[in-house]
Amino acid sequence: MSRLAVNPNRMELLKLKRRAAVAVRGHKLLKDKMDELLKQFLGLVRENRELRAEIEAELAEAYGIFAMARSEMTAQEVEEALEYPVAKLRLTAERRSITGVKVPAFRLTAEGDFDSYGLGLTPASFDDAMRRFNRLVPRLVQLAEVETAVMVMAMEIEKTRRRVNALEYVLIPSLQETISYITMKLDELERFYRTQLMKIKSMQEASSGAL
Amino acid sequence: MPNTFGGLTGFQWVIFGAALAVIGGGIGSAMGITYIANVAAGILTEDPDKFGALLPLIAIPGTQGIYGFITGILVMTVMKPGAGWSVLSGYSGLLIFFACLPVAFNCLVSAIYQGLTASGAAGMVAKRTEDAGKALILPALVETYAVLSLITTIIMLIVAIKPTITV
Amino acid sequence: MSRSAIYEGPKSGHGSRGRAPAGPGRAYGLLARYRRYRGPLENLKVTREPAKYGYAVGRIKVREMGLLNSQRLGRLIEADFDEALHILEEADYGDYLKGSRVASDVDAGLMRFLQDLYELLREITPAGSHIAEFLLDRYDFHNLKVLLKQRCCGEQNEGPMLDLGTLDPEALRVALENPAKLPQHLVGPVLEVLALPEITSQWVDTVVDRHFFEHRLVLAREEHSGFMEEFARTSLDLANIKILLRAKNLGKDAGFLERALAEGGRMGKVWMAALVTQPAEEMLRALGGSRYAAGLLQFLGVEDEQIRLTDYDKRADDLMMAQLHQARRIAVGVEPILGYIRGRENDVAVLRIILMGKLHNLSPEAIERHVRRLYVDKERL
Repeated sequence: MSRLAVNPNRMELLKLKRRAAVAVRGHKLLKDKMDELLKQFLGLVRENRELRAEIEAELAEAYGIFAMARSEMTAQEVEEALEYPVAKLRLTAERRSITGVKVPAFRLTAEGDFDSYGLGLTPASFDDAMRRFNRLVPRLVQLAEVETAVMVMAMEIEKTRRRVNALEYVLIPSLQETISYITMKLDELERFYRTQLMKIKSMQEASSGAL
Repeated sequence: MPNTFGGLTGFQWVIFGAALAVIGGGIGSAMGITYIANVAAGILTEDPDKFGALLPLIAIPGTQGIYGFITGILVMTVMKPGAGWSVLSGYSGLLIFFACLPVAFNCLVSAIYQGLTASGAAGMVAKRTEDAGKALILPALVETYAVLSLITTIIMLIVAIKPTITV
Repeated sequence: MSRSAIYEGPKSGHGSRGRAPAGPGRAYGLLARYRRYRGPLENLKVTREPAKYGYAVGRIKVREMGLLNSQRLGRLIEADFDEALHILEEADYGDYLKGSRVASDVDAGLMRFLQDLYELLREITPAGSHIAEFLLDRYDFHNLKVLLKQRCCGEQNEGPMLDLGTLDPEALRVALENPAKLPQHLVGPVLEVLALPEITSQWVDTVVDRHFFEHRLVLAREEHSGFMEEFARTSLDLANIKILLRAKNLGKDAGFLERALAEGGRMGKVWMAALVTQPAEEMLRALGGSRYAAGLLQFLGVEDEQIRLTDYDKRADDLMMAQLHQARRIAVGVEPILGYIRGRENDVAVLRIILMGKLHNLSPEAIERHVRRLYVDKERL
């Protein structure tokens, strides 16, 4: 904790006192912001965790079905069947704000069917796997959105926390220390003047008495 | 001359019968051996060590040809009347002709089916060489009826030849 | 039979496949149908066939020992991936799969096995027999689909061609530039695809697959083998039923089925195509009304207007395998050859299912549910 290198005079003291008042108010505001951010963040994290667990389970299931379906044909036959998909996905990214933090918002539009393959030679479980994958795509995008939001929020919270800490543990204490230092210095100066004055006065009285 | 039957002399009937027996047995055996030999060739390409086990199977449809040949020889040599072929009446020749028929037809058909049975049995040998003995039994059962027909033919020849000899 | 770029096979007109019985009433039990073929004429044929197929059957009989059996299969399902590879070393498949680590290794190994198997098939196919073509032209049609898709849907890259069929893929690529040079049986699908109002990859698959099933029936007739014809017709029927059920689930219309369903099966194509407009339960009931499909369909249920098809492929394959089992009763003929090659292909599919399942950490029970009936195995199902 260090004292600021300023001249200990009344002018600086006034300035510092104003700065300290601003810092304290700022600290309080930032602290409120962080509380709000944390509240939002925890909500998002919970949502993210649930979504992720859900999607991972569904993905595993879909992959299991697909793995079984694809092992009924040679790799080349699978590739041939899925080579040219018909479905087209359009993804647009926008911004939305959570308590002043900008997070992305994705919008997915799909056109065309997922079945781009012949039905006679591919196994029937193909449809099931593809349907599951097809249903999972929008949810994956949703997961990406939530996950990015969580990341952006975490960064924002980190930044705010650093600011709060800087104010709380560095700026405000050092301002206060400097203020008290200047106050002490000024007090001391005053006492010095006073003793000097008293000394001069007593010397004057002594000399006038002697006269 | 009353020595003909249906326009053929006794000698002609005998030749007819003998020829039929040899032809029947020969065709049957040739076909039967062809079938089993084809299969055996395939098996031996994969596993030449099975030759010993397969050889009896390949050979077994050949016996019908031998039976036909035996019948032919029997008819033409042993059954020959002491006074020469010319004394044989058309009726007696016809009897000998009929006596040849069991071998002629039975050997023809049994050799073909024996070839098929042997082909199936060769499949057993292809899987386990140790089964060669068991596998041989199956076509050998078909052989029974070729043997029976040969025995019948011989008995019929002996019975049929008796009146000829006494004439 | 040697492979040739220029195909000189049967010239089959569309007229010869016009024997399609209408409606489910004409469906026969497989066994009854098969017995009908074994009339007096067939018996005469029995005396002709051993000379033709004998050699091939001999070659195959020795190799049949290497097929998977149920005992080995049970051990494979219980083992983990490395143990499974170890067990396979006892069978013919070990050399091909040795050192496999990932799915693509397994695919490549099994592909090499198939290549060698088909090489054997070409070598032993007797002159004048279509058996190799019957079993391999599936890959010609596959390559045709790849090429048509490339042509109609875009890029000119290599594509997932399979060098397993009767035609050289490169020769096929060249021939496609000029449809007049194409083998007779591939002209029909190419022209039909090119005439489509809208060429999507699904249409290409649908049209070519249909021609494939119909062509196989023609080949079987040329071979004069009741057994092969039966096999071709059953697989065509099973594919038709599968297409109908899946089309229903995917919400296709009757026009799609008109192009998708192959002709020549036991159930009339028009009758089947009309079924798609009915509710799922109605459709299953109508299909199940035919004695032929009843056994196959009784396992299917309906869940929120979707027909559950999870087990259909396995059931269908098992049914085909049951039919092939009859081939084992015939010592010499086209039947054991067909049975052996299909048995091997089935083994390859089973191995792929097991090994992929192991790689994806599926439980032995889940794998067992998908594993097909084996050619060697008699007891299951």
